[in-house]
Amino acid sequence: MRTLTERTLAEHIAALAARAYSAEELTRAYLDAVVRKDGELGAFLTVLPERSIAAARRIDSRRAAGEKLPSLAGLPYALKDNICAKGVRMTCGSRFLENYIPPYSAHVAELLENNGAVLLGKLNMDEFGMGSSSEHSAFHPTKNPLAPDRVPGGSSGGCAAAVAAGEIPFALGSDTGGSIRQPAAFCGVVGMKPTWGAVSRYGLTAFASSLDQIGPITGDVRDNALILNAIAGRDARDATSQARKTPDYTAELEKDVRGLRLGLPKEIFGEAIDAEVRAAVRNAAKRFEKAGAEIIEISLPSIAYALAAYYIISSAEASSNLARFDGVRYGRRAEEYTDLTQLYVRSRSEGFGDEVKRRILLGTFVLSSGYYDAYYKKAQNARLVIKKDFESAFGVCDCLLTPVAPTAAFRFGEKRDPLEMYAGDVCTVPAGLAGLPALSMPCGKTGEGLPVGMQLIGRRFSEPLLYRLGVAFEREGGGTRENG
Amino acid sequence: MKITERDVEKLARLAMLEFDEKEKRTLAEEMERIIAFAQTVAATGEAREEPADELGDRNVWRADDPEIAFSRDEMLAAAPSSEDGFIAVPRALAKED
Repeated sequence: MRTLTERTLAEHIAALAARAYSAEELTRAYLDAVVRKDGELGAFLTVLPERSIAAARRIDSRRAAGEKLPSLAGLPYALKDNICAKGVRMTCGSRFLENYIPPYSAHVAELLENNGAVLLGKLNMDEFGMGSSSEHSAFHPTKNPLAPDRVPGGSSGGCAAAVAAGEIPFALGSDTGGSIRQPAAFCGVVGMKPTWGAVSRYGLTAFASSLDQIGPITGDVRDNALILNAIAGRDARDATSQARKTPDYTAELEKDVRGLRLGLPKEIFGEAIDAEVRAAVRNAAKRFEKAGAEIIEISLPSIAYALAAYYIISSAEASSNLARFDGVRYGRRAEEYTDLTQLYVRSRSEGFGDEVKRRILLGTFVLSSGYYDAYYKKAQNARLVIKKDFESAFGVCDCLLTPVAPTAAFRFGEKRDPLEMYAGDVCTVPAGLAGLPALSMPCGKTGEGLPVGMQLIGRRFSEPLLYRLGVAFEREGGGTRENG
Repeated sequence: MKITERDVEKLARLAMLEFDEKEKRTLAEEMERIIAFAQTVAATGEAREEPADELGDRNVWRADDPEIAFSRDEMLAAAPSSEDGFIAVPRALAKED
């Protein structure tokens, strides 16, 4: 018999409605798991025991009073620590914001609260989202619950580790170049980077605004669709959030995949990808074929430039977005300075970690006079070419299937060279640059037993199709959650 | 492209950051390799055409109406230093003699 914290969200929703257990019991079960496991795991930066139990009790009394409750009533969750919850410390994994208490909640946090979900805490991450291992958190590393000598991925490493370890049934992360998808793959859970514009970023600390997107990390695909239902939609406070009607992301889950065409981009199955990862994803393709889908080899030639284009564009935007951290209005202020300029310079230099400084310098370089045309403009051009390549691909297939990362979870300290770390984002940055939705889910294991993730990339706003493929894959026996 | 410690200093000045000599040496070496990698983007062919409004990209305006989103106290609570209801910073202009 599975323990309470091993159940899916869908199971919790049914059990809470049937009063098999209360919201308080459920919240306590997850809090106990955090107390038991997180000292070792390090997924959380802030835990909210009193606040979450009080919120759960309010849900229980409303249920006892016979009130009709919203769909996520009593379900505990946690937020990546770059998403604001009013009155709860938000660090972004940075010393700069070590003691910052936001006076407002992110749109997604408001939606979840109104939906009855119970905020249990805030999760560890690479500083400001810059990293692929969570080793760049200014506070502590997070371990991979399936292999404690390995990283959980990043930057939403705390989210994926907490869900995989059963500390929380779902979390919201953010993805700029793969920060939801790659940690989900490393920890054997499900992560969705929605279409750019599908979810409001109001209250998400901006890293690279033309790429950033908030999305759910869950134990299985159905749970993921349930949460996207709760957070997607137009919000006037994020002008880039799309006004189109939000679909029911669970509507197509029961449909089969017969007749769907899955494209395998040949460039992504090259030498840069570990042989075991390639084999696992090709195997997944065979299983889709068995379920009635058609597999086509396609070409995305511009993928070769995606990584460089991504690092130029995201760093350029970061250098601008992070200019707001100046030690004046909020966050850290240096102790010693003689004038205003020194106040800025010292506050920033003391508050930011090495990786953040590298990205700010790179962004400043590619935007500076004399280099702008050769780097930033070229990268924007590459971004257009990449979008065009995807468009052509979607002329012959409904969805693309790729690995999420070139390898399974790597060891702590294994990628000290920044460029080596960047190279790990090769499979995830193209969908980011093109603004496309991409689902990351487990599809197999390496010889050492580490989970391997596959990525399904679709046309803009095709999340229902991606979820349909994901659930079909789970039905075929793949992709079930690993419990740490 | 060669990146020197002086280049790092210049970028740092633009970005309101400062580094000691050892950091500058490390960063010059790292930035040189990162910039060489970024340069691979130059080999991309020209985009055939601008995608015609493919993303439905358009300007989105909000009404230009003033509103009070936060109280002064809420805002000042986050400021590292405040005085008499204002954020306090060092003098920005030199005193006149």
